[in-house]
Amino acid sequence: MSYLTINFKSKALHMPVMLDVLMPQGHGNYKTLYLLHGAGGDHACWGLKTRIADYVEGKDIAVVMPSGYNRFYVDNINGKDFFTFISDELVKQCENWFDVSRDAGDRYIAGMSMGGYGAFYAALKKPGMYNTAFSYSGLLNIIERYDKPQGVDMFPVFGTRQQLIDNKFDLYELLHKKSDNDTVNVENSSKFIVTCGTSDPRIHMSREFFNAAKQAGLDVSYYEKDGAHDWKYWDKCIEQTIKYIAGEVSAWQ
Amino acid sequence: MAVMNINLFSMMLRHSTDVTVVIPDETKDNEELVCVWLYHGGSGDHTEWLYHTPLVDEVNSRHFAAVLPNVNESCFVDMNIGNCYEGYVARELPSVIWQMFRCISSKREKNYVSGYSNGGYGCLHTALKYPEKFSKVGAFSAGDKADAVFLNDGSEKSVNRIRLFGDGDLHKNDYGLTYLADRLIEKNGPKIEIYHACGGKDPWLDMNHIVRDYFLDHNKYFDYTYDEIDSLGHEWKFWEIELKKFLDFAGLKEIQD
Repeated sequence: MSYLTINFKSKALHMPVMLDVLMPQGHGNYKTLYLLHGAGGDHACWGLKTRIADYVEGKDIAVVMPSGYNRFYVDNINGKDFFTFISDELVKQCENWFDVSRDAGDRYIAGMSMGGYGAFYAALKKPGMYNTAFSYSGLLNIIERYDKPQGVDMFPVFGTRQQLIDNKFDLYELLHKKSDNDTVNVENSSKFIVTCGTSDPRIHMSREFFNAAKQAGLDVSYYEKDGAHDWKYWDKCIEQTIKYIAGEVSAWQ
Repeated sequence: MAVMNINLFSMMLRHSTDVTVVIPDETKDNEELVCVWLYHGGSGDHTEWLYHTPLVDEVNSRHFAAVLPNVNESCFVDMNIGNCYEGYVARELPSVIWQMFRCISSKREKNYVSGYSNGGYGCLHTALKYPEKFSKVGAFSAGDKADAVFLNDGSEKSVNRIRLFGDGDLHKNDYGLTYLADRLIEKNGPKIEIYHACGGKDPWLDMNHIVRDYFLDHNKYFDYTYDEIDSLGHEWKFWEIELKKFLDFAGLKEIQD
């Protein structure tokens, strides 16, 4: 396995961006996990703060870790198009550069906290784009988060509270209108895995979203375990996720 | 552009190492780019072509991929006493890169190798020994190590020479460029296009002339071109100009919008 640090000019974002990639050294056609960080992090934090490099060693899985700049992986109301970057440009670019599979069934997306929101937002907006989306300690109730931003500036991202609602940034809105043409297509949709640590102060967001997603008819699973809103917990999450993608016995089954 | 630093474990070196890859802004679906392997100088590494030349702009305007390996101070050969850098850079790394990058061609006619100084010797060595992998060479300020005077006098210079190449006559083994070229002619190997250049003020100009004269004498076996710029020496200003001339020579013209 090799560790790539990439600097490239994003057309969607109109700026150079950094990207970390863990790439197998096998025979190509790898599964790909797009792995998103939380607020305050960047492309390097999964590699620095977890043992992900050990977990993917010897597996035919490429892991792509972009930077999200506290911008929630959506096309910002007063800013740049991060959703277009994550779910369109980045995927096309990686599938052009590297010998990774172009099959949606081999594409996965995951993230913690803000990245959990971003992963589910992408999978709900583009049903059929990812095999499975994972949220670890996700900020799955974005309206509650908007009302209690805790230091993160939400206005550049979502605009006013009304704009947030009107533009369907709320995952609950997307549950009922999963794609832009308003057709609810549960059959074609990704699988969703919701996880959270039991001492996470925002665990209700995961519990409540799981119930709503299940009610909406999605293929969704929920797992909670001892753990806080910290890297110790997310390290366990990514270990289980890699096993799950590799088809091994995992806590997510 | 995309500039990628790749950290990978080398089976040949038995340790991790870095290689830089530069890819143009625009790549089409299923495109197979020409790949130019760029070798560094004696005290350089995988980053120096990036910092000393406008390589990133050249990659974009001429539309090719560049791969910049790091072989420390090995001259890109398997050391007599030390690491197997030739095994890494000419055997292991090409298969790693061709396997990893869908957008880089693995075809001989689309893989060229270039370098300056120790890397100039190195790129000739690689192409002459692996002509089935590389079709064109751009060797700048490139003498044959076999022509360097060797006195086994216990000096640091002679110790380094023995560590790299042993104490034998390099005209009679695999380390010598003319030795490799003679073997290639003998077995009627694939023809290599060689672009060779040296600055008129280069302190090793005479060694470059020995290499030039060999290839001019054997010009029916090699497609050989030599260039000299009188006013320049062993310096980046020269290598930058020659890189552009080599890319022109190799058919990688600037694409006009």
